[in-house]
Amino acid sequence: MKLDSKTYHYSSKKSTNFILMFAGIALLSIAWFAGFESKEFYFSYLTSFFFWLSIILGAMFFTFVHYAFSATWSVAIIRVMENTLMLIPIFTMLFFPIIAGMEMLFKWLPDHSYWLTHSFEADHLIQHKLPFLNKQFFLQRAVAYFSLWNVIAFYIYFTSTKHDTDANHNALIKLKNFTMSPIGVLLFTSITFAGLDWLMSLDPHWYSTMYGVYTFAGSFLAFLAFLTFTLIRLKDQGYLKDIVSEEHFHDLGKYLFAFTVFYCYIAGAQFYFIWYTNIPEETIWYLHRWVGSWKTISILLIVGKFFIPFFALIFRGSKRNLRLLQFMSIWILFMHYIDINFIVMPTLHHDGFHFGIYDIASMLGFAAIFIGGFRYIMSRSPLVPLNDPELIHSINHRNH
Amino acid sequence: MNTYGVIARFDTPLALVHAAEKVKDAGFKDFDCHSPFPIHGMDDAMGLKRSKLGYVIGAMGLTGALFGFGLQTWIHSIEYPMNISGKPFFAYPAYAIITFELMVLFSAFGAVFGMMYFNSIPRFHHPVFYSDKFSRVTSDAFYVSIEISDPKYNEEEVKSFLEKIGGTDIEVLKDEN
Repeated sequence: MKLDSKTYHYSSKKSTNFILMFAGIALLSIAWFAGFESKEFYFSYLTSFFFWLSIILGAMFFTFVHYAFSATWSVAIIRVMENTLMLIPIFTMLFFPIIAGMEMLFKWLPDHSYWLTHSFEADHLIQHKLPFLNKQFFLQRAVAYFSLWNVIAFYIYFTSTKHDTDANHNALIKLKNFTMSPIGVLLFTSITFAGLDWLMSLDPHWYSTMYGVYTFAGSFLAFLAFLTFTLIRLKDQGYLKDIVSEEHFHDLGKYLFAFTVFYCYIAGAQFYFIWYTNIPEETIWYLHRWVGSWKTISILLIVGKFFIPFFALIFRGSKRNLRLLQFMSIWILFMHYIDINFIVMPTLHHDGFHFGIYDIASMLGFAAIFIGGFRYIMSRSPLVPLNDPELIHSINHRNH
Repeated sequence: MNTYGVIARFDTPLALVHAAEKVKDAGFKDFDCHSPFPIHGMDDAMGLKRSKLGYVIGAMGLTGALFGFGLQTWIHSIEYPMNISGKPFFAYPAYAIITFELMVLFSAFGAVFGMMYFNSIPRFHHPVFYSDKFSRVTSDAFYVSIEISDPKYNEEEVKSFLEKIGGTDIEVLKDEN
């Protein structure tokens, strides 16, 4: 079988992509400069940062699953996932504003404004958590996560792209060994602890043992939506013709459906435990999200992140309908943003949902950087692993 | 002696798939294929429609969920209201688990009994067993059977047709009495 090389060589103007990235960085810098002293900026920045980072973490998980199980059906789409991984170096740089704004974000730091009116030493729960939640250890952990993620991204991406040129199938064995090694365990640990560090510790009195898997479920769902959207977009532009077919989209639709249910299961389980036990320091987290317009957001999450995708994607026909799938993937990404906002923002705005200039600026800035960077990375290598012996089977993949 | 249909043997799974396509294209409706194991692509070759079972399961699941929720609402807030750790009588978050369980239970019933209904199970005898050679179908033979209920059925024509498409051991199914 001969593939038309035009369909798997993504071409985009390098200058456009760099302009997009610089525009994004400029927008974020301006917002940072304007809001250097304002809590509002750092919370908005953290929301957008985690939204886009979670897509990359989801990609990392999917790549691990693909290589560890030597999956066949996903060979045709694996390069799109690997391209997503390579955004990690940029996101490592983009973490610095969060470090700069730590005192504004995290209540467990003694310099936080909350302790101007409260006694830090008398807060027994915070004192108890200090061995884990202190500035030094927090930064060490952040360094550890980002080093791990960078190592994973660089190793997988460069091993896989090298395979395109030298056709040495040892690359696949190397990748399989890499993904089946304890690094996979470290990846999960890092996703869990990143969720605990950057989102859960915003409210240090509160804790939930479901939080790590909640972060993972949200991240993977967001990545699946991003992947589906990207592939449909690529197909609309004429790429991957005769490579990615309705059958692959059917499988992605199944994934989206399954992880919509999984997310609901995890989020629901977290809620039921807390609701049932009824301990004040646990229920306070949900109570904060049940006042004013946060109540509307909570209900929107239940309906929009579970019921709408569930009933839209349950039918076979809708998983094979690219327009519907495209709409649902945008919808799921939108709901994921609402979800992150629902996690982060009530710490700042107790009275209700706000969507201000900093939210818009940081969201647009990150989107520009992400899309510019992603388009640039996609244009650097073929869109499919050309020398993978399973590629032909993946192209001919069929659902039964 | 009653006649029930005609069977023909094929040697390979691939030959069976091609035979099924030809039988379908010749316009037969009441025919079936028999093989020792499932064959990918057989549904398409025989022109079978997608199973309606999913809709049965979906409807049963929804019924189960509504039943579970309704049952608990009726018990806890109408028939026997009881104060459990100060929670409201209509404590709908607590109902989610039983609602889910009953949804799963009803869907499983729908799946099992729906499958049995669509496959006409239980069924203790079938005319193909009047053929002695047919028992080979559980080890190494692949059979096509065309039943007498088919509107296009004509014994001689069917026999020559099956022979033409490569069938061997062609046999007319007849009972003993």
